[in-house]
Amino acid sequence: MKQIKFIFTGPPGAGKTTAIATISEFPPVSTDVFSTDSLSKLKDTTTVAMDFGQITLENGQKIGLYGTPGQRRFKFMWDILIQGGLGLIVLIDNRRPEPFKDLAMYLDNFSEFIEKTDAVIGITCIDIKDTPTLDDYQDFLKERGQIYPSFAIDARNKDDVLFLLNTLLTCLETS
Amino acid sequence: MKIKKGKLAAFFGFKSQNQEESTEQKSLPVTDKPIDFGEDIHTEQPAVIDSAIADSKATEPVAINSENLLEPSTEIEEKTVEVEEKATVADPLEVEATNTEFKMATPEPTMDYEHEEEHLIVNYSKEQLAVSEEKLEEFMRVCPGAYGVLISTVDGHELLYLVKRDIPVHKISTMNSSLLALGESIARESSQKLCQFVILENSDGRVVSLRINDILMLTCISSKDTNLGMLLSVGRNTAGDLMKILS
Amino acid sequence: MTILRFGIPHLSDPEVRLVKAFFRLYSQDPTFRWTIVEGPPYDVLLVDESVSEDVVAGTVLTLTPVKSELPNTLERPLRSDHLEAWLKKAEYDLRNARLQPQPPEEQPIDEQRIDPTSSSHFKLRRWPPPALLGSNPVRVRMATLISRRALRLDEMAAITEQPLAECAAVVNLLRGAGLIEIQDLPDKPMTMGRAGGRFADQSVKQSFVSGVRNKLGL
Repeated sequence: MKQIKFIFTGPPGAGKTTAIATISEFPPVSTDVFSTDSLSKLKDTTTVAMDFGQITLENGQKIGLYGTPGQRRFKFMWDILIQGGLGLIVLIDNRRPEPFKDLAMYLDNFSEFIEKTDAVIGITCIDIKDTPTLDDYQDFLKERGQIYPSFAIDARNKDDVLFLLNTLLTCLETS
Repeated sequence: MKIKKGKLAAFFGFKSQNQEESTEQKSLPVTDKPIDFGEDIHTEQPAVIDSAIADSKATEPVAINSENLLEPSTEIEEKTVEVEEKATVADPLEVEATNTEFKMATPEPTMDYEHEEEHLIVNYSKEQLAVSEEKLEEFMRVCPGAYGVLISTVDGHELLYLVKRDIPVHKISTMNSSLLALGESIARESSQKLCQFVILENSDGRVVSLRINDILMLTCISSKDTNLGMLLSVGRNTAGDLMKILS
Repeated sequence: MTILRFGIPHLSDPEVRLVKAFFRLYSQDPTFRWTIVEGPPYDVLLVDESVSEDVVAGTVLTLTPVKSELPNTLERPLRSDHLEAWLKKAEYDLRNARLQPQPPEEQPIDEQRIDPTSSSHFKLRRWPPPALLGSNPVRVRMATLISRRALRLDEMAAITEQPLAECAAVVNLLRGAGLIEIQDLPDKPMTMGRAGGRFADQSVKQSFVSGVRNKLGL
């Protein structure tokens, strides 16, 4: 049985580890270590290899939930983790200085993978910083000639994460 | 002998922006250009110096005040000192130069968004770094097959390194941080305790990674001229010494 | 369900952000029908009193520096409760107006509505604003489907297992906001799945998707 994965990516602090923990059937395996750069202003630890959670279907099929490290210097891990991936969930932290730039960076770096599969976007912390708005994100994507389902989510909220995953499944239904 | 020595970004509080300037000082081509890292903003390496192994008694290899260096307005300051060949090398092919210009440039800090995460919070005195450097040199002397030893942060930023070959130290630091974290996770999932080493046994050499403390790790790269036991033992002792120095 | 189009093209950036923030709050109410649109036609256009140019809108709501007794005015600074109350009243008025018999010259507007029997293909141009879809999973699913490929109503109905009329309603909702592109493609059997994809065939894919949804209680 082929291993099937969903990949969570996005900048450090966007909620990838939390989102996986929210829906995984066991506490996710994480590779978090202390942050030693400016990221430490936001959070004490950062993922340097991957997060791994899992869902097991009734027929025994296991679905891997993999979170990538956020920083671009770990791109080698991104390329490893997407192998066998079924789709990408991009989480963007609205508090970051340039969230559009973040979004563009992940969409560009995962473009080949997205081309083969699909992607949905979850914007986190929009309740803390309300600009840019979801509409602004869509304007930005439209300028890039892209349409991705995008939602404001709270990575700690299981319904929100499942909503994203469900939308990704719908994308896969037609892709 | 040609050895590249990297001074730590943490020491400066940021990474080198004038890589081109510093690489001009090198006689060997360096493979600093990243492979498959896209437009990796983190590929710039800290000031890289081509030199013979610096005389450990050259107590003031660089006239830098680390506190001043953390100020954004600090201007580039350079100082050139003469250093002498010191270490023993196993591979004669690697031996190249003796007295080499030892030069270090202090980069201006980058405050733009893309480099934001480059600003390391760890900060060591030049004395701590100088003593750490001696430990790295000692490691290289004791392990005849060793051709690289790196101190880096556990989240993948190189701090101080000594290499005899052109190897992409930034990439190795980053990848080994992932590898060590994975090793520690696998140990935990296997109901085993402290992960002491992550060992890559290759056809012509070995790469051993181990923790120094909560935020630093050591990577030892060696040919098969050093046996594994020796590499592990010396690596562990070096890490122990560094833990005391860099506590 | 009819979406009502609210325009704010003449306002300053801070006021635009303020109004958008209000609308995000209002959209928590599933009965809220308004959405901010970028271009005409507008059901309501919110303008500063200095705007004197001709505006194309059903109703013009004017912002004034002090409270005015004139109808369709709101004083600055704009307050969420005032705007919401005004929108509810405007919605009521518009609904009543639309229930009145339409004069013959307005018949073409009705003809533009997508009929459930339509055989056209519909494709989403841009992901809809949150106020349009809310957290309604059926609407989100339909929007997602036609964001990926142009589909007929019957294809949408088959995938989502929803009545044709519901699919037409969602398409009309999106079309009302100017987000739908109508494509007259040749009819051919619906095929899904990319060559070389992860699934050997459509049934395996559907089985997998259903399995994940069942597991997650979706």
